[in-house]
Amino acid sequence: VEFGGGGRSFWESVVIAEELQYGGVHTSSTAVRVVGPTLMIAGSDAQRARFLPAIARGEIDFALGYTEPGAGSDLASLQTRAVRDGDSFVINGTKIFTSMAHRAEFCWLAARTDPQAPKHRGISLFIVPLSSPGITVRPLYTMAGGRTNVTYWDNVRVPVDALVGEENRGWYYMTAALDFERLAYYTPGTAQYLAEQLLAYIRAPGNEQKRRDPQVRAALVRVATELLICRLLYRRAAWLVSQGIVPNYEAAMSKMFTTELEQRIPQVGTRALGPYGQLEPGDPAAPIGGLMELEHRHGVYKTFGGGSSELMRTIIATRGMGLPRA
Amino acid sequence: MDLALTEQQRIMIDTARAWLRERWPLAVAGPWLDSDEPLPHTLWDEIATLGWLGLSLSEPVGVGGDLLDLVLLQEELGRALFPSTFASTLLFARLVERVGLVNEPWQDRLRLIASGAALGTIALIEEDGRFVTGVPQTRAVQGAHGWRLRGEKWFVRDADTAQWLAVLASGGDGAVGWAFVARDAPGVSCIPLRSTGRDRQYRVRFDDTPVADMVLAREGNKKDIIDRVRAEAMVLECAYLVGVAAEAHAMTVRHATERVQFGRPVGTFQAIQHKVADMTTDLESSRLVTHYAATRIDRPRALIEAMYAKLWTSEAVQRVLREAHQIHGGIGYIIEHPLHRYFRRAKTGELMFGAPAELTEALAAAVMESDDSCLP
Repeated sequence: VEFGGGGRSFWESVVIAEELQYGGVHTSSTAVRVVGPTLMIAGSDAQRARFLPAIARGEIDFALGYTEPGAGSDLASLQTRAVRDGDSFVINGTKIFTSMAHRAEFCWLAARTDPQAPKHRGISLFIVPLSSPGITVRPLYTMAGGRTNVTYWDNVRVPVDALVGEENRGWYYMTAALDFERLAYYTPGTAQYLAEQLLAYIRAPGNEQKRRDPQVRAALVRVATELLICRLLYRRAAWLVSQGIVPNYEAAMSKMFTTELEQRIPQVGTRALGPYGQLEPGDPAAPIGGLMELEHRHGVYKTFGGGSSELMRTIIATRGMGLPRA
Repeated sequence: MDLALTEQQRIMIDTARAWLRERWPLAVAGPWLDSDEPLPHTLWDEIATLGWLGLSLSEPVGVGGDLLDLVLLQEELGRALFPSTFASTLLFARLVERVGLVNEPWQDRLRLIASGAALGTIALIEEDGRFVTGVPQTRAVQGAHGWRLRGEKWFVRDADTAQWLAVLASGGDGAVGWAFVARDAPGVSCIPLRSTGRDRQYRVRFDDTPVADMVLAREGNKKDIIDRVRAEAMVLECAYLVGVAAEAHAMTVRHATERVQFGRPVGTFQAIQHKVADMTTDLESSRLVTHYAATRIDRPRALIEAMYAKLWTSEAVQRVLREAHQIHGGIGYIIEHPLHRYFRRAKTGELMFGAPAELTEALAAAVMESDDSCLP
């Protein structure tokens, strides 16, 4: 409340996020889900006073500067350097999939500050204005028609107070935030919306033949069942958070299940529509405005963005069930 | 959503685990499952003393606990492969309470059940195998000397040891209801079935059998007295299956940690880790959906929620057992290893009380044709 927020629980915020995603609104921004919570834990008083009220008012947004061309699933191997020079850090490197970098005001950047330390212990977090000299943002267009970016960092200079928390402790802040991020970015709202749209179409007058098709019926029951499971896995993880427990493998399970379901629904949906299922949005003959075709393409990134399904399974097995690491 | 267990529930689970470890270890359970022996009666006295039989019955016979308490207990019983008699008897006793048989003889019978001196079971399924959508061909006919029952029920658990059976029957003019029948009444005969789960199932024939009490569903209370029993039976079977899967999962994690091949524990291989991750997801989601259905048992959509839970849990537990065997390899295929008992019981649980094909079609009808969409 003191920083201009509502003072509500995480539980309330996930319910709101779910509703918003159901409405097709992507408000689970990096600012709200990653920057805000991390600053509450690790930020300086000056950083909190400067950024939190603006985040709460929705005035500023952040691009997430984690992934690099050589550091995807193995995020801790990132190579972008931040070198101390007097009262500044000087940043050099390349970040990729910096979505929103062409629209946001700041970048929430992970950079290597100690190349001699083990890879997890030499990373620090910075808040960098994207208007800083030396940052070049180039577009990458995706197969779903959206835009992300690659950003080049050429001797970008930030004052030392851009550092978040302790130097070289960045990885710990990042991983703590990742568990929350998985819950915030991947709610059951999208799957619920897709399932309801598909079902409404099949139930509409004129589609009796599809409605009687045993394969369509079985597929829709499967979707409905998995939708319930998706919601329960999500709520379980959110409930753990509300109890003050870090939901590390439970959030991974929720993310994995939700995103895989978000791919299965358009797969089932396009098939249920027969040849009409291939028609894109914009074609007047496309059922449900081409939603199933669009989501079939759009959903491809979900099982690797924000931590791949394979990584999620490894987390469940090792962190969750205690299987030995390789 | 509140997933926290109460202190009382935690104590109950701990007590159940300790008692089952002591009195129903696999060394005892295995030979019993392989035999045709009836349930040892001393065990039943102990269960009554532990308070399990009165747990979910109304006062003054019981302590008025809810279905979730039974669900928690059922999971422990599933882990230990304890006989289905517990669930059969409680489904029966809860039905007696629900249909409002409150007269003195039934109060006495319920007291006997709660004290461990009597058992009951429910008989819903007929030759067509349907559980949720079946229309009973078994007929109760009212004559000069009360109701008489004719027909045959299939897949009746624990019919031979029960003193009382609740039999779903038609009462003429399209009415359906429960015929409460004494096991030793004239014209009752039991033929054992040989189930893969080695639970005790029977075909039960009724040949002009006198009915002790007949309770017909009236217009409007079919949900309360028939669908409710179906929902409770599905939820309790799910809970047992969660226990079955939990034990198979635990064995598998242990095995993957200890078994060394290529110079390292097989659990370090990602191919194994990812199977374990999927088993974990199947197990934990089954538990969540079972508890979800149990806590919504008093709502109008209880039967739908129970069908979703049963459909998901049945199939998820099949996957858990399949991967458990795959990860165990040859040793799990050997009869001395207990895994095959869990594998067997999982299949019975999948097909009893609503097999996937029937549930899929029943849910499809709800999703496609009902007024509200019945999406979860």
